[in-house]
Amino acid sequence: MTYPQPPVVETIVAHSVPVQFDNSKAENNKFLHSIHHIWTPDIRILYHDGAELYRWDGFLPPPEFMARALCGFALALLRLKRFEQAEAIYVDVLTRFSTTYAAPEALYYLGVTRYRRNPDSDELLTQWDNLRSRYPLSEYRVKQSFKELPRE
Amino acid sequence: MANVPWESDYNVALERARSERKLVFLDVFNPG
Repeated sequence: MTYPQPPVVETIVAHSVPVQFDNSKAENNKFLHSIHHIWTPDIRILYHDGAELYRWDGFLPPPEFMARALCGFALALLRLKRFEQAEAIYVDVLTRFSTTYAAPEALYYLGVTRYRRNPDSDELLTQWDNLRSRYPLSEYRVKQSFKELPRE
Repeated sequence: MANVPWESDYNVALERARSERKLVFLDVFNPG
Protein backbone atom coordinates (compact mmCIF):
# COMPACT_ATOMS: atom_id res chain seq x y z
CA MET A 1 0.00 0.00 0.00
CA THR A 2 1.33 3.39 -0.95
CA TYR A 3 -0.80 5.98 0.83
CA PRO A 4 -0.21 4.78 4.45
CA GLN A 5 3.51 5.44 4.15
CA PRO A 6 4.46 8.61 6.10
CA PRO A 7 6.85 9.96 3.43
CA VAL A 8 4.05 9.62 0.86
CA VAL A 9 1.64 11.55 3.07
CA GLU A 10 4.27 14.22 3.65
CA THR A 11 4.89 14.55 -0.08
CA ILE A 12 1.21 15.03 -0.84
CA VAL A 13 0.38 17.50 1.95
CA ALA A 14 3.52 19.57 1.40
CA HIS A 15 2.30 20.67 -2.01
CA SER A 16 -1.41 20.08 -2.20
CA VAL A 17 -4.87 19.73 -0.74
CA PRO A 18 -5.85 16.07 -1.28
CA VAL A 19 -9.36 15.14 -2.32
CA GLN A 20 -10.60 11.61 -2.98
CA PHE A 21 -13.54 10.02 -4.79
CA ASP A 22 -14.80 6.42 -4.66
CA ASN A 23 -15.84 5.35 -8.17
CA SER A 24 -18.16 2.65 -6.82
CA LYS A 25 -20.52 5.25 -5.33
CA ALA A 26 -23.34 6.37 -7.56
CA GLU A 27 -23.29 9.84 -6.03
CA ASN A 28 -19.89 10.39 -7.68
CA ASN A 29 -20.91 9.28 -11.18
CA LYS A 30 -21.81 12.71 -12.53
CA PHE A 31 -18.52 14.25 -11.43
CA LEU A 32 -16.45 11.29 -12.64
CA HIS A 33 -18.17 11.41 -16.02
CA SER A 34 -17.37 15.11 -16.23
CA ILE A 35 -13.64 14.42 -15.83
CA HIS A 36 -13.68 11.42 -18.24
CA HIS A 37 -12.60 8.98 -15.56
CA ILE A 38 -11.81 5.50 -16.87
CA TRP A 39 -9.30 3.68 -14.60
CA THR A 40 -8.05 3.63 -11.02
CA PRO A 41 -6.11 4.93 -9.33
CA ASP A 42 -6.78 8.06 -11.38
CA ILE A 43 -4.55 10.87 -10.17
CA ARG A 44 -4.95 14.49 -11.26
CA ILE A 45 -3.05 17.56 -10.10
CA LEU A 46 -5.23 20.63 -10.43
CA TYR A 47 -5.02 24.39 -10.12
CA HIS A 48 -7.50 25.96 -7.72
CA ASP A 49 -9.77 26.86 -10.65
CA GLY A 50 -10.08 23.15 -11.47
CA ALA A 51 -7.70 23.22 -14.45
CA GLU A 52 -5.85 19.92 -14.83
CA LEU A 53 -2.07 20.45 -14.86
CA TYR A 54 -0.84 16.83 -14.63
CA ARG A 55 -2.26 13.33 -14.54
CA TRP A 56 -1.45 9.64 -14.41
CA ASP A 57 -3.28 6.35 -13.93
CA GLY A 58 -2.23 3.17 -12.18
CA PHE A 59 -0.60 1.90 -9.00
CA LEU A 60 2.96 2.86 -8.13
CA PRO A 61 4.95 1.64 -5.08
CA PRO A 62 6.06 4.37 -2.65
CA PRO A 63 9.39 5.51 -4.17
CA GLU A 64 7.98 5.54 -7.71
CA PHE A 65 4.81 7.22 -6.49
CA MET A 66 6.71 9.95 -4.65
CA ALA A 67 8.94 10.66 -7.64
CA ARG A 68 5.94 10.72 -10.00
CA ALA A 69 3.91 12.95 -7.67
CA LEU A 70 6.82 15.35 -7.23
CA CYS A 71 7.27 15.55 -11.01
CA GLY A 72 3.55 16.29 -11.22
CA PHE A 73 3.72 19.07 -8.66
CA ALA A 74 6.80 20.49 -10.34
CA LEU A 75 5.27 20.54 -13.82
CA ALA A 76 2.10 22.08 -12.42
CA LEU A 77 4.17 24.83 -10.78
CA LEU A 78 6.19 25.28 -13.98
CA ARG A 79 2.96 25.75 -15.97
CA LEU A 80 1.99 28.39 -13.36
CA LYS A 81 5.41 30.02 -13.90
CA ARG A 82 6.41 29.46 -10.27
CA PHE A 83 9.90 28.65 -11.49
CA GLU A 84 11.84 28.58 -8.22
CA GLN A 85 9.41 26.13 -6.63
CA ALA A 86 9.42 23.88 -9.70
CA GLU A 87 13.21 23.89 -9.86
CA ALA A 88 13.55 22.93 -6.19
CA ILE A 89 11.25 19.95 -6.65
CA TYR A 90 13.01 18.71 -9.77
CA VAL A 91 16.36 18.92 -7.96
CA ASP A 92 14.82 16.98 -5.08
CA VAL A 93 13.64 14.22 -7.45
CA LEU A 94 17.08 13.95 -9.00
CA THR A 95 18.71 13.86 -5.56
CA ARG A 96 16.45 11.39 -3.75
CA PHE A 97 14.86 9.40 -6.58
CA SER A 98 17.48 9.33 -9.34
CA THR A 99 16.82 5.68 -10.21
CA THR A 100 13.04 5.96 -10.60
CA TYR A 101 11.14 5.96 -13.89
CA ALA A 102 10.21 9.61 -13.30
CA ALA A 103 13.79 10.82 -12.93
CA PRO A 104 14.48 11.42 -16.66
CA GLU A 105 11.38 13.62 -16.79
CA ALA A 106 12.75 15.64 -13.88
CA LEU A 107 16.05 16.21 -15.64
CA TYR A 108 14.38 17.14 -18.94
CA TYR A 109 12.11 19.69 -17.27
CA LEU A 110 14.84 21.00 -14.96
CA GLY A 111 16.46 22.32 -18.09
CA VAL A 112 13.15 23.66 -19.38
CA THR A 113 12.44 25.36 -16.02
CA ARG A 114 15.77 27.13 -15.90
CA TYR A 115 15.52 28.12 -19.56
CA ARG A 116 12.00 29.50 -19.19
CA ARG A 117 13.07 31.49 -16.14
CA ASN A 118 16.14 32.84 -17.94
CA PRO A 119 16.24 32.36 -21.72
CA ASP A 120 19.81 33.67 -21.80
CA SER A 121 20.98 30.78 -19.66
CA ASP A 122 22.63 27.71 -21.20
CA GLU A 123 20.83 25.46 -18.72
CA LEU A 124 18.52 23.85 -21.27
CA LEU A 125 21.34 22.36 -23.31
CA THR A 126 23.40 21.66 -20.20
CA GLN A 127 20.68 19.60 -18.54
CA TRP A 128 19.74 17.88 -21.79
CA ASP A 129 23.38 16.92 -22.19
CA ASN A 130 23.21 15.45 -18.68
CA LEU A 131 20.04 13.63 -19.72
CA ARG A 132 21.83 11.96 -22.64
CA SER A 133 24.56 10.66 -20.37
CA ARG A 134 22.48 9.72 -17.31
CA TYR A 135 19.33 8.35 -18.95
CA PRO A 136 20.29 7.43 -22.53
CA LEU A 137 17.44 4.92 -22.96
CA SER A 138 14.65 7.15 -21.67
CA GLU A 139 11.80 8.60 -23.69
CA TYR A 140 12.94 12.06 -22.58
CA ARG A 141 16.30 11.51 -24.21
CA VAL A 142 14.36 10.93 -27.45
CA LYS A 143 12.37 14.14 -26.85
CA GLN A 144 15.55 16.20 -26.92
CA SER A 145 17.17 14.18 -29.70
CA PHE A 146 16.50 16.84 -32.34
CA LYS A 147 19.44 18.59 -30.69
CA GLU A 148 21.59 15.60 -31.67
CA LEU A 149 20.87 15.78 -35.40
CA PRO A 150 23.94 16.48 -37.52
CA ARG A 151 24.19 20.05 -38.82
CA GLU A 152 24.26 20.54 -42.59
CA MET B 1 0.71 3.86 9.39
CA ALA B 2 -0.23 7.37 8.36
CA ASN B 3 -3.29 8.80 6.76
CA VAL B 4 -3.67 11.24 3.93
CA PRO B 5 -6.10 13.93 5.18
CA TRP B 6 -8.49 13.55 2.27
CA GLU B 7 -11.17 16.10 1.59
CA SER B 8 -14.35 14.64 0.15
CA ASP B 9 -15.85 17.87 -1.19
CA TYR B 10 -14.32 19.01 -4.48
CA ASN B 11 -15.23 22.67 -4.03
CA VAL B 12 -13.86 22.74 -0.50
CA ALA B 13 -10.59 21.34 -1.83
CA LEU B 14 -10.41 23.99 -4.56
CA GLU B 15 -11.09 26.79 -2.08
CA ARG B 16 -8.53 25.47 0.41
CA ALA B 17 -5.97 25.22 -2.39
CA ARG B 18 -6.65 28.83 -3.37
CA SER B 19 -6.34 30.15 0.17
CA GLU B 20 -3.31 28.00 1.06
CA ARG B 21 -1.65 28.67 -2.34
CA LYS B 22 -1.35 24.94 -2.94
CA LEU B 23 -2.34 22.58 -5.73
CA VAL B 24 -5.16 20.03 -5.57
CA PHE B 25 -4.25 16.33 -5.54
CA LEU B 26 -7.30 14.44 -6.81
CA ASP B 27 -7.44 10.66 -6.46
CA VAL B 28 -10.22 8.45 -7.82
CA PHE B 29 -10.12 4.95 -6.38
CA ASN B 30 -12.07 1.71 -6.39
CA PRO B 31 -12.44 -0.03 -3.03
CA GLY B 32 -12.66 -3.51 -4.58
